[in-house]
Amino acid sequence: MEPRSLSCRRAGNALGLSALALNAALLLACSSGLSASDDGKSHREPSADTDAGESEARSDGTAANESPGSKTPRPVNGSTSQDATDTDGALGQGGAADPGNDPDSTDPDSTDPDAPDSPQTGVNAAPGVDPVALGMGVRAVVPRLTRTELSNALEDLLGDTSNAPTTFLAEDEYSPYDNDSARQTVSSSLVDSLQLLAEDVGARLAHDDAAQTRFMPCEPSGATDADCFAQVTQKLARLFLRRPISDEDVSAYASLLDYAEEKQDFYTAVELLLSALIQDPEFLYRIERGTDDGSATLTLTAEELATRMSILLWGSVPDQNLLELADNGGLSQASDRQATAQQMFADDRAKQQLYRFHAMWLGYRTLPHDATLNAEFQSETEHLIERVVFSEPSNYLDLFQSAETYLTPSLAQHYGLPAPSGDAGWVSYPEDSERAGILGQGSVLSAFAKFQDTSPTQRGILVRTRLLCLPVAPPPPTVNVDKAPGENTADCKVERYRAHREQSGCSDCHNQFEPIGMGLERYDRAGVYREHDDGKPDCAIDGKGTLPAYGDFTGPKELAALLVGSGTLDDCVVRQYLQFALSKTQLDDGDEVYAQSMIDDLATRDGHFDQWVYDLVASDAFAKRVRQEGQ
Amino acid sequence: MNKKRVTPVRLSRRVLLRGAGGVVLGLPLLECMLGGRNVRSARAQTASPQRYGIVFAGQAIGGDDWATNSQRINGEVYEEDGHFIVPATFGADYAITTPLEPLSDLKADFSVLSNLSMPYSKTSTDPGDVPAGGAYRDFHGGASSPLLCGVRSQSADFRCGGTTSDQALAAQIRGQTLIDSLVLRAQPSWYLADSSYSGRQYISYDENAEPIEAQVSPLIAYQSLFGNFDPGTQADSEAQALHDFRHRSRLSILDLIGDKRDRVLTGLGKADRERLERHYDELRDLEQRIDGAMDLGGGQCALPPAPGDDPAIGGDNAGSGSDTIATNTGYSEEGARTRLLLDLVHMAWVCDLSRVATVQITVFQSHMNALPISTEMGLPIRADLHEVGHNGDVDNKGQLAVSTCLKWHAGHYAYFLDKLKNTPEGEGTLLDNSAVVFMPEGGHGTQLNDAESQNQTHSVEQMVLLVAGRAGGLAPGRHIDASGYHPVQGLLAAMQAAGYSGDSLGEVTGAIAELFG
Repeated sequence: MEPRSLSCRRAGNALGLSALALNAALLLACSSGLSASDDGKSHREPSADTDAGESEARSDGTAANESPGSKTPRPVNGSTSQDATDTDGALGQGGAADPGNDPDSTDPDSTDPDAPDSPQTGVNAAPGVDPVALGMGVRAVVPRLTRTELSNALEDLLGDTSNAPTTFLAEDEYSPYDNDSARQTVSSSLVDSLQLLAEDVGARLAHDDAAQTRFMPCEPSGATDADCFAQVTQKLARLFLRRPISDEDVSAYASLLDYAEEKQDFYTAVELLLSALIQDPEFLYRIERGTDDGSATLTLTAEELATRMSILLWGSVPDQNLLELADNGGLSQASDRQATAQQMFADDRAKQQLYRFHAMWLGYRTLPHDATLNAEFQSETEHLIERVVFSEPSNYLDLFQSAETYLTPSLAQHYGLPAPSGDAGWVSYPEDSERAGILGQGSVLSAFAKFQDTSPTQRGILVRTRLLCLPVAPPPPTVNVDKAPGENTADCKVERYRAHREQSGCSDCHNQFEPIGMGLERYDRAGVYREHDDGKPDCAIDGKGTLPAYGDFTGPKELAALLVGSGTLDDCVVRQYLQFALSKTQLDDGDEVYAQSMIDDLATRDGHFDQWVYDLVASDAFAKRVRQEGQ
Repeated sequence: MNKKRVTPVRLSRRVLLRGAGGVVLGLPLLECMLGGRNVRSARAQTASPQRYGIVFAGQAIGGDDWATNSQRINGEVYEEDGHFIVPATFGADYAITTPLEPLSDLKADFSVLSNLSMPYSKTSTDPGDVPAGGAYRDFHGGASSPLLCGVRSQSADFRCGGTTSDQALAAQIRGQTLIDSLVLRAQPSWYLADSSYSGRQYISYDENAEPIEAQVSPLIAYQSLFGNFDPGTQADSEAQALHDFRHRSRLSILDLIGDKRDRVLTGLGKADRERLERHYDELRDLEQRIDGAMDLGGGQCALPPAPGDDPAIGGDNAGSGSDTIATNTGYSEEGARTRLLLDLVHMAWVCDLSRVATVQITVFQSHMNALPISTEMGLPIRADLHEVGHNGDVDNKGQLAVSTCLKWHAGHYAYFLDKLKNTPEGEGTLLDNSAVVFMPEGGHGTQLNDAESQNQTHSVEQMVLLVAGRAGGLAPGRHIDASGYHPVQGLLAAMQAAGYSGDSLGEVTGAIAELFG
């Protein structure tokens, strides 16, 4: 399917349109130099002082699809191009080479792993069904609960705080979100691991007093109390299978009482029941069967709708209260969902989930420093998200423009900022500070570093792909991306990058993002302000950068102002969140109308993220799904 | 269809029991109920089964821009022969090289295949111009498919275009053992915060070219391999009772889940249905593996000791790396994990639970911290494994740095061969009935990407495989000049030695006959 044209973007945003067109033109120019390969590749950025170079960006499948002339460039989900990435780390995206400093450096690594196996557009729509016309987005193939979702579910349903899934199950793939079902595979190692996980949880929880208090609806009169076992089966199966439980369902599990009899222990049967439920595909997969009214869409059942809500808002399955509400028809109307979403947002689980989304989106889900500093960075950023979205809801873009940040005395000292009063608190940036918002915090500034130093290339790609949702083309394969171009022996980092950018064959692409990174160069990989290369007072860093098509800037505060003024940042936020909500690596053409409607909605809500999320959940699209082939 | 396994239709003992009204009867186990998955019957059929294994190293064999005799070590640049994995002379009487040192006592038990290469277009980077069995002009991903499954790659994706050697062989001998194949991986984490394996963690692809996720937990691998077996007469009655209880209850649970299969699948769309069918198929396979586990038998075959808890998973390296590489971030005791996994493969082979195994020590383009392993080898290098091949650290780079890490990988291979060699079987040893390949990720030569730069790790030239064992008439003990051969032709020889009846894998045909003497 052809990508939708640019004209479908929100009208009235002249600046956004022209900027977009300009970026598109840049992309084309860049891409046209590629020989057909589109794959991404990464370059590395050598770091001079250390000799430790690293590889750089790469591109992913998306970029590949944008290659030469075959398609009209369009705004894509940033992650698309970028995230797919890499290998070597960082954003991986596109392939841009970072000029390095190290003469030895090389490495290319390209990769692109993240490319989806097949074009996703319409893959999950039945023949003849036009997802674009329906304007509701196309869900990915049935997702399995991620490790995090599984951990949260076991905590919410059973009170198990052991995080057992992270012990028993293999790492999820991130792209950059952890829930892309196209990347989930099923192998014997998975079912083996799930079996042992289920047995572990069953054995621990069935005999745990606190857990029993939670899930036992009755007091068993003896080891073989069939009536009580039927009650507990009804209750737990309802929670785990997330559908109405029939008498027939309940009686199937009754055979487990034989084991209770054998052991003369009622809870032996409960243990096996838990084990059976945790391994059950009905629990593990977010199956959406819907109800059929003969149209191109299916309406979700009450439980399926509750599951969508809880997975998105809480990163977990519905708890008993939410299921009961759904049962009673409490989610069927848009206004009901609006109100329920609001209540759910007040729960701490919603905060944790949104923190997790931001950490994956902006690439700081793990931080490279010592544990104390990592925790302080994380806390600082979470306080900002919490304030902008939850406790003092305001325009979401304040996340990027906040003039205050939440510091401990030690973190204030780390940054060289005024200390808060007391153990921790909000501190205003000084008048002359170049910092503002999340881009000025150590968390984001730590992300996408290279060995020993920042990577202006990777930071620029981050901004371009995840904040503007623009693609980055892969470097041409004929270029030797393994090495810093030319005799790049300049002593100062900024000179090495400049020389690199000026090389023909590199400049078109690198000019798309590297000037962005240069504007953040006065912040090292721990977010500390500096004015020259580490250990080289003669190598001054002026910190001047350019956001192509929008203007020049110096530092996070001015960058944020340009991004906000672009009118594109908020669009991109919506696209990123929808990608996460739809469990996909990238949005595709079938999602475009849906994305546009949600972009428009954010504007009508004056940028308030909380209200926008309520609208998202209340929307008709959220309560339905596009009919799949064979459905 | 996404599904792979063909499940033999068979009578289920439990179905018969259920049919009898749930009364537990001491029905005799009939041979026809075993569906070809009974260990003892399989053993009886074949006196000396032949095994096939791959031990994979996701690292370079040389350093970028360094000739194979050049390095900078402790800050000093010098030339010295003997560090590149390839011996200086061919034949049996070659001098052991640095990476092969752990194998010096096993010199007569393996052969070195050198000068292997994979084709690529030197003039075009167009995906359409990649030759059969060739590499797309972007290393790592572009070289993975031809190496693992003999099918040309047409993108930088880490994705096989066909079936890998282990799975092709497993498909041919399916039903002869309880478990078709073992797919294991030691490196349990990608170690970078903002990217993902994206296919670098797969070296086994099934008959539908679908990747097979490896088991990364030695403890779970142990439990799934041996946890269903009768602990035997040595066990006390309590352990015996526990085993019996678990065996029955596991099967009951899988019955409960499997019984709902049709109902769950009804009404689903095609894509969702295929995904879930795959899951149910794996559950059925698990059920059969449990059902087919009787007692292990005797002789050399015995329940191995259970490993303890898995070593902790190390934290991520910083972004694309950092000076924190000096700490133990990015390392999860891969050495210990590898040996635990190899112990399990060894006993699974002894007991003939399976005849095919892949053990991926490190993933493609591995970012595992090289400091712990290089320190263990006596030359601390502060970089991740991938970086060692490209830049090393400030003071250590080039051939000896790379070979130090490769030696660590080869040491695990040697450990495994040694175990096989010290396990009597029939008239000889288990190693006599095995073909075990050591497979590094890449070669050293002209860079694949630019088709020009020399002494590059991103190369599909001058590739190396080690092939050990005497299965099917393999005649190990030599360094063989495999110029003109594709690595898959080395795999084909090992596969045929282990009983593979075909003469091609993917787009590559013809085994390296010299391996048979």
